Amino acid sequence: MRTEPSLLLPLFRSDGQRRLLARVYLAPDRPAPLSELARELAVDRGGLKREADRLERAGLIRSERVGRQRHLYPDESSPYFRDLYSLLIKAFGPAMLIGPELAGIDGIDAAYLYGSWAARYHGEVGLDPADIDVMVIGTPSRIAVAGAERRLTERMGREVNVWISSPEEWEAADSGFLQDVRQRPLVPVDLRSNGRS
Amino acid sequence: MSEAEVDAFVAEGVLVRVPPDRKAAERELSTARMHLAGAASSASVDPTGSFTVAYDAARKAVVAHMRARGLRVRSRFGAHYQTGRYATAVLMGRGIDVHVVAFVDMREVCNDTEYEGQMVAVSDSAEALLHARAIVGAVEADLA
Repeated sequence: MRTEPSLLLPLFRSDGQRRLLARVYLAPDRPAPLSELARELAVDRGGLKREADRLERAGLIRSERVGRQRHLYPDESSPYFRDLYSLLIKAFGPAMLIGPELAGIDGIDAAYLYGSWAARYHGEVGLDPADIDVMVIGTPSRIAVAGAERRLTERMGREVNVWISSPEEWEAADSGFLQDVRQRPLVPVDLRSNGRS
Repeated sequence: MSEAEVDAFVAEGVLVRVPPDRKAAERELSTARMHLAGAASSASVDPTGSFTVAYDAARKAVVAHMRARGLRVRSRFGAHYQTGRYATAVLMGRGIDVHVVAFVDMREVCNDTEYEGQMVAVSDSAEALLHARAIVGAVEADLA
């Protein structure tokens, strides 16, 4: 769990609120009950419920009851929906979008966000990163990875650059570039198709 | 690709109409075939080079298609990128979509090898060759 709140788009009243909004808005096809979301987002369940209630009263999200469970969705009728989605996907989308995209490619052992975006995610102050750097560890098809890179760039509206490193190269880290990447903040990409932010 | 779509590309400034040149198209296609042979023979010893040559084979076949139709891509808009757009417009929906999409993405892999120092594996060059053969074959069929 991070100790510093993310400094990417620091507009939200709490880190829990921005994590909840990002999760609900950027993964509406994967609704989950509050208890599961609380675990996934590393936010306490009571706090998450209060945030959800507040966002629902503001008309930014809506609930659907599935049995005894409450599932949250973005409220697409909100006049802020498109703008808020645009802000969230640009600021918090990478981890959530890159994981599912890479998860479908064989031969990837691990993936990390690195560079400026990863640094911002870890709370390092700086300019809004223009592009998103992704390190893929494994031996995937380069054409398949280039396709993922292109689709992600189109979806996120900012350039996604993927560097592929074999497991041996990653372990040895005997190039200046890999040494630099490994010394700086990394954000693991969840390859189980439920990339968390 | 309909004439209306060609007109849209021309209006966008991406394509220029030139006199159709069947001989130039045949020359480009012949070069594409030689590239395919070269890529196949070097795939195991020089996969990165083989990949680039396979991509060039596909790209030159697409250029041959343009020449035969009386079109030329304007280089100032990124000739390789625009050639990919043209290929998508003329070759998608004909049962080789996977190869057309791969051709578009091969450009990025070539850029990574040329400017970022990335290398490709033998399996990548074999895959590139497969896609390039499909593109060249589709253009050959159109120009037959």
